[in-house]
Amino acid sequence: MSRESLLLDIKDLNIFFKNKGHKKDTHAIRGLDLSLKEGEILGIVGESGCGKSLTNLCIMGLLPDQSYATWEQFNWRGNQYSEFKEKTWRGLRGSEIGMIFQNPMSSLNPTLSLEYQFEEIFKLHRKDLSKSQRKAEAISLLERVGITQAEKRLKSYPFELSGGMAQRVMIATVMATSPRLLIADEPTTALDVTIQNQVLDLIKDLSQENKMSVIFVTHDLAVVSHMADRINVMYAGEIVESASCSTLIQNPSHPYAHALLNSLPTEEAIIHKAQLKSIPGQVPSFNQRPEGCSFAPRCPYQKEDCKSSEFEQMVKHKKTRCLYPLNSLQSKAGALHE
Amino acid sequence: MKNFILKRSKDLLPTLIGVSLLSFFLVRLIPGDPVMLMLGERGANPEVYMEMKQKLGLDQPIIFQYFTFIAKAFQGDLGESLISKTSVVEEFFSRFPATLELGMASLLFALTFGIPFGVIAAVKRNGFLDYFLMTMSLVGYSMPIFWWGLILIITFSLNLGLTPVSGRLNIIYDIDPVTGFYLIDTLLPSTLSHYGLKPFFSSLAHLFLPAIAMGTIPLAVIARMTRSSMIDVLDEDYIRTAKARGISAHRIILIHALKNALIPIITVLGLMFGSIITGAILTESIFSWPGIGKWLVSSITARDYPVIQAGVLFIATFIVLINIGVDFLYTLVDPRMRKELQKVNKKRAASPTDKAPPQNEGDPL
Repeated sequence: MSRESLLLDIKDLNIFFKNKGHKKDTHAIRGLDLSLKEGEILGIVGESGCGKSLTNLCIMGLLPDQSYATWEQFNWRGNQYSEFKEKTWRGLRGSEIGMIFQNPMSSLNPTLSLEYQFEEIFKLHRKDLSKSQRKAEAISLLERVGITQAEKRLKSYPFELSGGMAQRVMIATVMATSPRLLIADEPTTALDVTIQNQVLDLIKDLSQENKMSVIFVTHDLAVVSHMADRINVMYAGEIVESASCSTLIQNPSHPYAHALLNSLPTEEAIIHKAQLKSIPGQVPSFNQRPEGCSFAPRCPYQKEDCKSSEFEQMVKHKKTRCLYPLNSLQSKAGALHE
Repeated sequence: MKNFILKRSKDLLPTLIGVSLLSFFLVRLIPGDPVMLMLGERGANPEVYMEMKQKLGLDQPIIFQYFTFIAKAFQGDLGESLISKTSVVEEFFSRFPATLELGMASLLFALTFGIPFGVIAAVKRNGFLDYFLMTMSLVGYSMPIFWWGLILIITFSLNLGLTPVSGRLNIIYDIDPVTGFYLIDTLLPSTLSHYGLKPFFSSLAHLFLPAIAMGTIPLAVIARMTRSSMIDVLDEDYIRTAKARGISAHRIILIHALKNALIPIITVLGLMFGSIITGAILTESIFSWPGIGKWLVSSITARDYPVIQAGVLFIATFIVLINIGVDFLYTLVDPRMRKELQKVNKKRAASPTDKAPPQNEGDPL
């Protein structure tokens, strides 16, 4: 894999929250590595509060006011960025990196018509278009995302759209600038299941057509397995496992990934109305992380040295952030898995 | 639009009936007898007293008096002032433009400074500028108008000699009060040909201090409202979307955020304009502004019943109208209201007998 084919390559990303007074800053995202090839769809999964959204906002250069990021390397399309500069990121945001969000209904400005919103984007990022071209382009974008009567729709306001339609419009506004990367932050969580698949397919199609990379964030493994080429599993601000989609689904090595997969309802469970499996406990908040492995307190396979202070050193060069990855464990011990 | 006004005008009638009842009976509850006040020492003579009372119709049973008042009011006759014997309606409309002109000038002052202050404070949230502006607005809000007015006069008129002390126009100009708004009247051809632009600037200079005095509290309220409204809006998802589109910060603030933040401010604006008109009394007294405030106060001291009744009734009507105007303003800013309106109208056109759905949200009355 040569460096050139990488669209985005981040090494050792750390995000901190400033605390009031003299308290030490909260270390939210810890030593995160992330790389993305052209046209690749990368899924990021994890429960709420794992830092998925924070990571994405950082890539967009839209971190909340009280937070800041440091990194060893931030490489975007072959350009190295040594530190965050608002001016540099203004050039990327919207034009090269687009983003869609969880609540399409509240993510579109209710007082501005769709036409106005498209106009604004075109005027900002595609200054070569004339007024009539802008309108034609907006209509063709709306049609591309599957909105009927696009010309009429252009005159409407976001509150007149259904959730699925609003998300399509969001996607269309992002596609207006043909970005290299689309960050989709739980884009289907707020939608009906029937609409969900349509939107997922749309994103997938657009990615293939335009060779656009996608970072797809979700807490739903079923959704991400449908979409992604590769999956990063995040837990408490760290990537605990990164693997190709099929490997992760069939043979997860980190206990957390395994637990997430296990909590998916199976067909059998639905028929027998069995209780769904859940992961006991909750994600520790960024400032109350336990020593050693963050997942250890909830992990069914935890051992003494999982909590040791040398944990960091021990997992440093492993592909999975775990001392006892499951697949090796299984091959050795056989039937730990029920 | 027509339907909208018609529908909202229906609110007017019950309001006016209520106000007429209140103003009619409340003024009569104030101790003091207008006849005695008018006659002075001569009132000691019972014959003169009774004659006067009969002449004014005050000897009739009070319920009867009320219905006479209402019946005449429907014919556009609100009676004559007990003191000046002139038609109350005429008197009101000769003075009201002065109050309205002052009210609009002070609201304009409040808006031109209040909204930017609020926006700046919200954007620089918790910074020095925010604390400074909000402290200033708290000071402005707590300022007693009569004291503030005097301070303004002392500073600008007496010490700096920049503005006139009182009145609406330099007495050397004799202008024709066509509209009653001096800023307009001084620009009419008859005045222009005679005096040139000087009367216009004179009336502008006269308007300056009273507008500031009267607009200070609204300014403070608007600044604080704008700040909190903007802070709410700036946290909305669609602001994050706008940032993600790479839209510049000032465009996000001035277009994406402010347009949404204005909606609650418009509500306050309507209420505030009402209180500006009714609260004109103090400012008008300080600056000898010949508006309805001063007129009403003197009529209360004289127990001039018809003037008080008519004055209160007119102001109430005006406030209802202002609120209809405010509801209309909403539709300009908020497309949700606009579409709602179109829907109602369409339904009406389709089935005229069909009752329009009630939509009183945002109605401050």
